[in-house]
Amino acid sequence: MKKIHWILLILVIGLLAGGGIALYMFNKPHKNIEETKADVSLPAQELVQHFIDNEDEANILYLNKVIEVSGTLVSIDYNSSGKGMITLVQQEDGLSAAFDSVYVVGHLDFFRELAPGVEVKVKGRCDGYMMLNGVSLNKCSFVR
Amino acid sequence: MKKMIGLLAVLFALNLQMNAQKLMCKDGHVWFFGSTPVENVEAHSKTSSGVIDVATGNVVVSALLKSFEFEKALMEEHFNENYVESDKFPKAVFKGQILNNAEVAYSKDGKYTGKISGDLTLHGVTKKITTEVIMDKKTDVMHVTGKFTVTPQDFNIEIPSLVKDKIAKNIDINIDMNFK
Repeated sequence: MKKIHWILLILVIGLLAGGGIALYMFNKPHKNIEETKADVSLPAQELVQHFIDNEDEANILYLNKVIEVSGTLVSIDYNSSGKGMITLVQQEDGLSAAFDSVYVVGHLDFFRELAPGVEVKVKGRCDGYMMLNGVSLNKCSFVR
Repeated sequence: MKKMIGLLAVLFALNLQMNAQKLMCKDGHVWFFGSTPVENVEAHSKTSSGVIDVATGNVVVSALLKSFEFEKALMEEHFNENYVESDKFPKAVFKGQILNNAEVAYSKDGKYTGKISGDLTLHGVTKKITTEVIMDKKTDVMHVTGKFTVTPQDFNIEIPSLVKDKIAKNIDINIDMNFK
């Protein structure tokens, strides 16, 4: 093959690879929190206290991290779209863990057994801390 | 002793009433939508919180920016890292008041238009927002829906010229919350 053909071939391969990577990046899937190993594991009470004591410092430590917390269930709610939310530590400014409806539907038996006072271990992504909800964990799953 | 019990009963009743005067929501739906000829961008948060003080009409709504879900993971990343800088400014908070609060009969079913005015803080910038919301009270739930428009420039969110055409100039922010 002539040299020019080789150059063309390499160029085409390069373009295809580049295009492929760009397409992959553009369509890359959301991170699956349930299958991600927790960055840190601690009692829910301790996590909430960190945020109450120093929110800025706690944000640096925990924001966007996958966190596993254990604690006593205070309440559980489902909204009209089937999402579930459990509250730990205390009703206001405690810890709120949100479960996607797909997860709730897939674990109905487990959700049925939940009641205030039950000890649970939950893993989710920490979105931050705010009024009322307190520490907010999202995309949660139960650790058993 | 009788006086004591009487006083306690009054305090207890007051306390109950005060608790009842706060309507709360922990799983509010807040979403935004921006359309351009190139593409539409929308993102939803279903874990926003809100409190309405029935007596004063004071309202606080908070949303954590990391809780906004986009269809594409890459957009979500760009939103957090490049635009709202959610590591530095993790939440958006609206603090305001229902101006015509006296017209809203919280104790019975009914539909009202609430005129709301207050401050929205996002990306370290606070801006005055005035808008109207629909307040629909049914049994024990106050369903509040509303919409207002902001621009990224209002909140010092810089859009690089390279992607300027892909990001809407006006962003509609919608809320749909059930207060109990």
